[in-house]
Amino acid sequence: MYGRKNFLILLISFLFLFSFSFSEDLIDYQFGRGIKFKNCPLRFGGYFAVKYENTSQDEYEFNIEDAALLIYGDLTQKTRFFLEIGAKELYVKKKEIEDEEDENENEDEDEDKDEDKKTFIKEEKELNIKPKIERLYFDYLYSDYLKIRIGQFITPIGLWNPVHIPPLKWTLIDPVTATKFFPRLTTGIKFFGLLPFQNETWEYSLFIQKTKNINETHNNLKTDDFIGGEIKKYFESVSVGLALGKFKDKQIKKDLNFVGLNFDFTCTRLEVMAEYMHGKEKDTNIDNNDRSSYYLQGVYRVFSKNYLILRKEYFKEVYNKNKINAYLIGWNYRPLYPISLKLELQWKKDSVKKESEREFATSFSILF
Amino acid sequence: MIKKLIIIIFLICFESFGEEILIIGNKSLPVDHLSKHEVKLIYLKKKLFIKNIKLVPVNLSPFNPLRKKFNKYILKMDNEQLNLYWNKMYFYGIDPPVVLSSQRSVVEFVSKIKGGIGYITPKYLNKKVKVLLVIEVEKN
Repeated sequence: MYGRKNFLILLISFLFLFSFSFSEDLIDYQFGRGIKFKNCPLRFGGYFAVKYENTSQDEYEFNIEDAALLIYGDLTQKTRFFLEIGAKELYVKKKEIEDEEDENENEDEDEDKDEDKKTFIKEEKELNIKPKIERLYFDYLYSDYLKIRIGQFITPIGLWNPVHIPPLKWTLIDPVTATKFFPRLTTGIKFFGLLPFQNETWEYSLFIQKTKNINETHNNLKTDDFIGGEIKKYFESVSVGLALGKFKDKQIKKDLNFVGLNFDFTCTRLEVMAEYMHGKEKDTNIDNNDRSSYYLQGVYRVFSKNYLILRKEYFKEVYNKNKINAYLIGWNYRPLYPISLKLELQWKKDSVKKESEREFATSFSILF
Repeated sequence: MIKKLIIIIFLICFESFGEEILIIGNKSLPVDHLSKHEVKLIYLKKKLFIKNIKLVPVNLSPFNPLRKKFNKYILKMDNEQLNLYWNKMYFYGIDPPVVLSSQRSVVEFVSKIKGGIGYITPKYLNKKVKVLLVIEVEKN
């Protein structure tokens, strides 16, 4: 553990040392695009994000949520290397309000819970500076129609998941559609590229995982058996994607299948994106534990560097009879293209909790 | 007087249409024509090869008027959209095309680099490169 920490510190020191000790001719640095040394095939860069959230229950969270280093480059004309190493939730200060009844779930259920319900406030601080490998892979570019990736990579499904880091996302709060249906990261092999017909307007990716992840700390769902793919068609200003997959969830020890559809429309000032996911548990005693979710999001460039975001989100779980409806309004200001300042408000209604929640979130994130 | 004025206005209008952007490539490229869509894919780094030759697209600076027209007519994106696109690509370790300072440098670069591809106006064209696509654009 300490070895990795020292490695990161060493690497950052190395970068700073080099950036000061070489003349401009030997260094190519562009803000938001990393640094490259002459005669070195690799580029070094990264990103950083900090956020603050507050809910209608008077809970809050201040979180230095992401710091990552990217190292990548073309090793030869046909091979590429990529490494992302980073720490998540480096420093968290939060206040949570929890119901005491949660700890006494086995007590007589007939009791009137509302009368006995007590809440307690939990305030805590955490410091976590352990860097982990987020992505590590090699690409072999056989042709535009067949590229092969081996290692740990982002699961190439949907619109949100492939760009889920704070400086790239439109909003800080992720839609459920992008987080609950498949593992965010995959370790294995991926085949991807363009399809050689219809003027190369189709793209595909197929991947398979049959081993545990290189590092699964930052993965939302843990798996060692995952197969899936997506096919996408591009029109003039529209793209439509269809995804399929199945994986074994190591935590609940069940096989899960999913199917997804996504749509994106882009013109100069407006982007409309939508994703739909449907998940199904296999080999289960429960008759029907299907889950489905969608979101529809509009991003409008109100004026230069300022974007208004509106989103409607829906999630349904058949077995629990759980339904979530959420609405979000957000503002994303990009004073410089590698910087993103976000401000957003989400209203969420959960049919199980039977109460509405309001969440306010703001963040600062930067690519460097 | 009115006739002269009409002729002048006509000439100004005529002059404002019909400018051409030439997409040029290195002479060793095994193709003689590219479609607009192919050029777009090349400049967005989605298409990397032509028959096993690695492509090296080159851009002019973001403030160059010809680059703005190229973005508008070929990529169909403005600078802000492109910056957001390259932010995403950076996250995947893909760098934007090399930027050169003048059309003369573009011709020089394309003529020397095997997979070189660039765009220029006709007055900079010479025999060291080949034209892969001609695009008619509004002059202003």
